[in-house]
Amino acid sequence: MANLLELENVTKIFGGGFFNRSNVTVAVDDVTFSISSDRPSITAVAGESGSGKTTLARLLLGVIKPTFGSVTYDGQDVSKMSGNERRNFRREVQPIFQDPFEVYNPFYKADHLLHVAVEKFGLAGSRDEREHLIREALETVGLRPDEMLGRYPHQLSGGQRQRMMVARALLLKPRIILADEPVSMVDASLRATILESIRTLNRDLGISVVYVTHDLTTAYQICDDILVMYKGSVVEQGSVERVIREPKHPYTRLLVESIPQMRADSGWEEGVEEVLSIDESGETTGCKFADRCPQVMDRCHAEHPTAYQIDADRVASCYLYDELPTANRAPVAR
Amino acid sequence: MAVDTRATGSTVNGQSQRPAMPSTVEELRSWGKGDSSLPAIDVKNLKVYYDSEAGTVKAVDDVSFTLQQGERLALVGESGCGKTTLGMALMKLTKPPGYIDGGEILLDGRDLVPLNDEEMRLARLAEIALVTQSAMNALNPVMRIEDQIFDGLIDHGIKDSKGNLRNHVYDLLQRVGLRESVGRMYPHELSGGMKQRVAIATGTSMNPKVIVADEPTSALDVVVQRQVMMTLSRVQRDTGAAVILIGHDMGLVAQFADRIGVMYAGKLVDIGTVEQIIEDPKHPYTKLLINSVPDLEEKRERLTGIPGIPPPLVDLPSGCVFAPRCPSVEDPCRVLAPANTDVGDNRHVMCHLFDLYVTMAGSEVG
Repeated sequence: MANLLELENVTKIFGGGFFNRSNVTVAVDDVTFSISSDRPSITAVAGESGSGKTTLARLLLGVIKPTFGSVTYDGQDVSKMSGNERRNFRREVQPIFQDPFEVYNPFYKADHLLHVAVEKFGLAGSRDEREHLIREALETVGLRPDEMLGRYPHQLSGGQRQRMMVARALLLKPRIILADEPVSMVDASLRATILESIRTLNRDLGISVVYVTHDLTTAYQICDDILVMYKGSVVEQGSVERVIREPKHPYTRLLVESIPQMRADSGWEEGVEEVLSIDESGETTGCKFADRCPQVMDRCHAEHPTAYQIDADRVASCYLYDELPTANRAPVAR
Repeated sequence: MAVDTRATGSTVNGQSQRPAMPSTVEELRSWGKGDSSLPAIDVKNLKVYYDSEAGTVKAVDDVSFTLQQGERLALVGESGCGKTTLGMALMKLTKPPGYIDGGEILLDGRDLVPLNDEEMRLARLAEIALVTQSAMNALNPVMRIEDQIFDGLIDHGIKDSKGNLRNHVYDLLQRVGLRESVGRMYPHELSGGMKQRVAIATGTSMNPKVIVADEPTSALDVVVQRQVMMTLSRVQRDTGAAVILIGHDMGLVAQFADRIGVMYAGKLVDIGTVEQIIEDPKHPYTKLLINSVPDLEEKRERLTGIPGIPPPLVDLPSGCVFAPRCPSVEDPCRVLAPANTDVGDNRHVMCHLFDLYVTMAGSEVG
């Protein structure tokens, strides 16, 4: 089994420095996961704000270097690539960002972004070919080229702009798309359309997707696997079906319970809010969730738990499962 | 204050029967218990328009609904459907070039629309309060939390000892699940969820009859969101205030509200209880809106959004505003605007599938 993109014991620490050891932030703490090249998959990286999911995405893109550990793409260390290799990497791993408003320059027509992509990577030999490629990409994401080309960004809706970003990523024929909260700034009714176009890329074009999100519902709908992050650490990872349906880690449980479900018959239970609102404390050597955990034990404060293999498809880092074997390798990307 | 006497006749009448504004913390406790025979708020044919170069923008067009005492109503719809504009109009905080073109907002029997600025200023907070989307921006960064809450009280004529005021603020903070010491803190010392709870405490500091909560949790994480919504829920039950929750998350709204009003292009197209709306959506737009929400029940083969985009509000289609995107559109829809129809059980739908026109034509009725 070959791994297309692989993170091995990656840690990213911000701040600090030689004279200032105290003021450091461990944004990503010892994360290991991989995306297989055998079968195109959609992997969710889920967590609340401050969980380190965006830092993880930036590490995957090679925008920042890990403090410890390595990120490898196709067997090569991303931070040690040569110019040509890096160029290739930047074409094959495409980002889609959160804000469909900021990525456009308001003075240029919206399709400028697509033209630049084609030119920079020399994808088309002629003007006609370029036009053809752009039209094709727009159609794949469900936009009508005649309605989109020649328009300025302010003339397009948020959903159209975001789908145009998907089209841009698609133009470059990537192997991996890394979407960082691609639907958090668009209306609920448009979310479904954008996510569906991302899923199409995965199903029909065989592109693997890393979907960074705080929204477990959409992750459940489109993903195969999921990593749940809390304060930089992966607390639970495995098949989305198992993790969301039967969450094992107390934090995952809390997250899943907090999703407002659109049902008329279930209201949130009263009284649990006090449990949820314990003040955050600073550094800990133990489990980072220990202060908020309803099932906390003494040892949780002492030492950080390793990952235990709950079943074939899933691991969780929690002492509740310490009778189970420790996981030696992350199960994502089967 | 001579200017104030220019108020319209109805206001003067309404004013004379009203209980005096509370002036001490003690009086505040019995304040806010409205006349239970009247609805908390009764909105009739409210219109909020904006004049622009391209024409008149009908941001809220002929909206009517009734909210009983202690009831929780949620207003949902895509961005730009007019839900926030409606919320602001209820507070009479519509900013120029916007204006209220007509209609009535009966708060506990008194119409807010003809009130002058001073009367309205007194009514805000004391009778109808706002909890905004960005509590972070609503708080003054250089004032302690308790001083900010005092400010509102003092401005509304509460003259009491510092000790009494402070005790009142501590009660308020306790009610939203915050420690007393939060009163002595500055906004930057609080997390997003705590600030939002301070906003709820401030909003309910004078026991208003109606609380307008405009997307109170949209900037928060799910766990904190749940915390804040449950706080709002508890405060609502304790004070008996009616709540209008403006939001776009159908799941969140279903967890909190008693009734849901669905807005589209400035019109209230569907209103009913949570069960009615979610289990038996009548308006085609409501159906699409509900279907576009992913859930954890089952994994869907396809995720479907609502095709098309809302119409520009300056250039609304003639006939039904939803006709261009509607899957069950028929010829009359493009010509004739549907009326607000009571389909039974206090459920109102604005769609030709349910109104008299089609009933007479012999088609199916819901």
